[in-house]
Amino acid sequence: MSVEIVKARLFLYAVLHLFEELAKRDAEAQKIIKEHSGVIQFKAPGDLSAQVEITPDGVVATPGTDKKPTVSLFLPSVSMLNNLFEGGFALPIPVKGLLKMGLVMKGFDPLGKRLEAYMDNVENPPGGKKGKEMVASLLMTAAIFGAAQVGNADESVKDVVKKIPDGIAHLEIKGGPSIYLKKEGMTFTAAKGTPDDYTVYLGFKDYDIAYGMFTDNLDLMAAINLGDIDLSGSLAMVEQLAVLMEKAGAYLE
Amino acid sequence: MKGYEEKYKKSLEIYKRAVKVIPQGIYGHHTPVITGPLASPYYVEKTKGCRYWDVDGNEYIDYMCSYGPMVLGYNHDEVEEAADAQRRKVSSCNHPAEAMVLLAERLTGLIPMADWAVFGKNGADMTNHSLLIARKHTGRKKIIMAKGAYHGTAPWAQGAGHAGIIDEDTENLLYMTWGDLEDFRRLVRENPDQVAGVILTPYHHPTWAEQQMPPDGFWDGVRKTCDDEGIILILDDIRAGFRLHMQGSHELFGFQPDIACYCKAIANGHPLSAMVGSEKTRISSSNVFYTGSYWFAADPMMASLKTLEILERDKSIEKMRKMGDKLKSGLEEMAQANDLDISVTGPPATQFMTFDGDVSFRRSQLFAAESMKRGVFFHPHHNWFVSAAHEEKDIEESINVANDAFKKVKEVFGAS
Repeated sequence: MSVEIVKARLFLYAVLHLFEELAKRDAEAQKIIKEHSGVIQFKAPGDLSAQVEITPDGVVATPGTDKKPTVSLFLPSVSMLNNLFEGGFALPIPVKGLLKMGLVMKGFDPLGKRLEAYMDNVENPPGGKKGKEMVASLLMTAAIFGAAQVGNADESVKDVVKKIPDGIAHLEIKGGPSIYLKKEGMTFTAAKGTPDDYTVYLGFKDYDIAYGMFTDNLDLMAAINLGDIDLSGSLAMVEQLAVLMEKAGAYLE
Repeated sequence: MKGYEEKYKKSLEIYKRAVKVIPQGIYGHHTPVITGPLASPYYVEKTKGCRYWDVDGNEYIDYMCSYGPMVLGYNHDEVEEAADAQRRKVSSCNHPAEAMVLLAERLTGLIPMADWAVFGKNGADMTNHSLLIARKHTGRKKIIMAKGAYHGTAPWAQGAGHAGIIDEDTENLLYMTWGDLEDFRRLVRENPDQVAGVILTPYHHPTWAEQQMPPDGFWDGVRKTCDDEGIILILDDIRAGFRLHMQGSHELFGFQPDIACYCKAIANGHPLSAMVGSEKTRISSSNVFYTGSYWFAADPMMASLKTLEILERDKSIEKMRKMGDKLKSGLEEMAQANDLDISVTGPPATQFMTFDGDVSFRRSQLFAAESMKRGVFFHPHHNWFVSAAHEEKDIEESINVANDAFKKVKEVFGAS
C-alpha cells in the first residue's frame, strides 16, 4: 500500500484514539466535550472510514460508519484526508449534516488543537507533571495503535511482520492505561484494556518511566534491568514490534 | 520477575553504579534483559571448572560456559600455565611471536581442508574477514546467509530493523531458509554471477527457537551448487567448533567448506578467533587487509595449542557428547514426570531446551530463574554448552534442580 494510504490508516485508526485519552484526562478537553456532542464520520476512497463520538462523558473512536452521524465527511482523495489531519489543504465534502457541521466541528477543532498542544510539545507539555503523564499515555496509545496499522498496511515492513510470532503484546503504565496489540497471521489489531493472557508484557513502573521511554529519553535496557520496566515473555516480539512503532512515529512526524 | 532480588543484592548494587557510566549498564549478549532481569546474576566474582560464583557468593553449575569459550573448565591449570609461560615472555608487542606460526601449523595439520590460517580476537572478526575474502576472490558483491542466523553484530550481520543499521548495510545480503536447499538454489538462480559467498552454520542454532540439524543431502547440495556457480562456501563454526569434532564440525556432517571460522572453544576462554581456508583462497586472503590491535597477542595462541592438545588427549569431545546425552535424557525424564512437554534440540554438547508450543518463552524464563535460584545456570533463550569439566555428579545435580524448576513451571502454567 502507498505511503498515503498507510498515513491515512494511521490517522483514522490510531490518531483518533488519542482523542479518547485526551477527553479522559485533560480538563480543557472535558470542558469542550461537555458543550459539543455528536458523531463525526470520516470517509475516503479505498474503504477508509472511522467515526468519533463526542459526548459529555467522553470520546469514543471506532472504525467504520455504523453509528448515526451528526456529520459525515467524505474526502475525495486519501491525500486530502491526510491533509485534513495535518492541517493542510482539504475540502471535505459533508455528505450529511451540512447544517450541523459548524457546530460539531466547533467541538472537534478545539479538541484537535488541544491534542496538538501536547503532541507538538512532548518535551515541555502544558500542565507540568500532569502534562507529561498525558504525553506518556498519548504516545503509548499512538505507538501501539500505530504499530498495528503499519503492520497491516506498510509493505516495506513485510519481512519484519513475518518474524513476529502470533500472540499478544500487552503494555501498561501501572496504575494507568493498559493497551494491547494482537497478531494473527499477517493481521494486527490493537485495543485498550487488559488481555486475558499475553505473549510479551511490558509494565512501566509509573508515568515517568513510560514518558521517558516514549520520548526516547530512557535507557531502556537499564530500566528493564533495574525493574523500572517489567518485561516478561517474547523478546523476539518486542524487538520486531519496536520497528513497527518507530515506523509509525516516523509517518506521524 | 519478582521475588529474586534478595539473592542478587550486590549484583544490583554494582549495576546501579554501572548505569551511571555505561550505556545500558551491561550491554551486548551479557545483558540481564535476556537472562532474566532481577532474576539472574549480573556480575561474576570467580570461576573454576564447570562452576562459577557471582558477586553475592551464589555458586552455579554453568551451562553457558561464557557463551561457549570455556570448553575444558574455567581456570584450567595446564591451559593457564601455557598462557602464563608465554605471557611472562611476551603477549603483545610490535611483532607476532612464534606462537602464531605454531598455531597455524597445528590448525592446518589438524583440519583436512585447511591450507592456511589467520587469527583475530572475536568470531565476528573472522566472519567479517571471510566476506572480504569471498568478494575479493570472486569479484562479486552478494552474500547469502540464513534467516535468523547469528554471525556477529556488524551491520551486515545484524540485518535491517536494528538500531543504527541502514538499508545500504544490507543491500547485498540475500536471505535463505536454513536447511532449505531449494531456497538456496533459487537465490543463486535469481542472482546469476552475483553471489560471492554463502555463510552458514553447520547446523542451525537461532536464538529464541529450536535448533535444527541439516536435512539429508543439504550440505552435498550446497557444496555442489557452490562448485558449479563459483561461490565461496564459508562455514561459521564459531559456536560449535571443537565441541562436535576435532577436525571441524563439517567433518561430522560430511562436507568441505572453502573457509571455516572458529572462536569460542578454541582457547578455553582466552580471547582468540581463527579462520582457515583451502588453497583456493590463499592468494585472495593474502590480498585482503584486515587487522586489530590485539590480534597477534601470543598468550591466547599458546592457550589454544594447549587446549587443542588436551581436547585430543582426553577425548574431550566424546566426553561432552556423553555428558550432554545424560543431561538431555535427564531433562526429558523430569519434564515428563511433571507432565510438561519439552524439546531438547541440537547436538548434545550444544543442546537447547524449549517448552513445546510456548512462543512467549515465559516457561523457559521461569525455568531458568528457578534453576539459577538453585545453583544451575541455564539460559532461557540461547542454546547451552556442555564442557569437558562437567562430570556425572554435576549433571545429576543439575537434573535434580531441573526437576524442582519444572515443578514450579507446572505450578504457574499448568501441565502441557
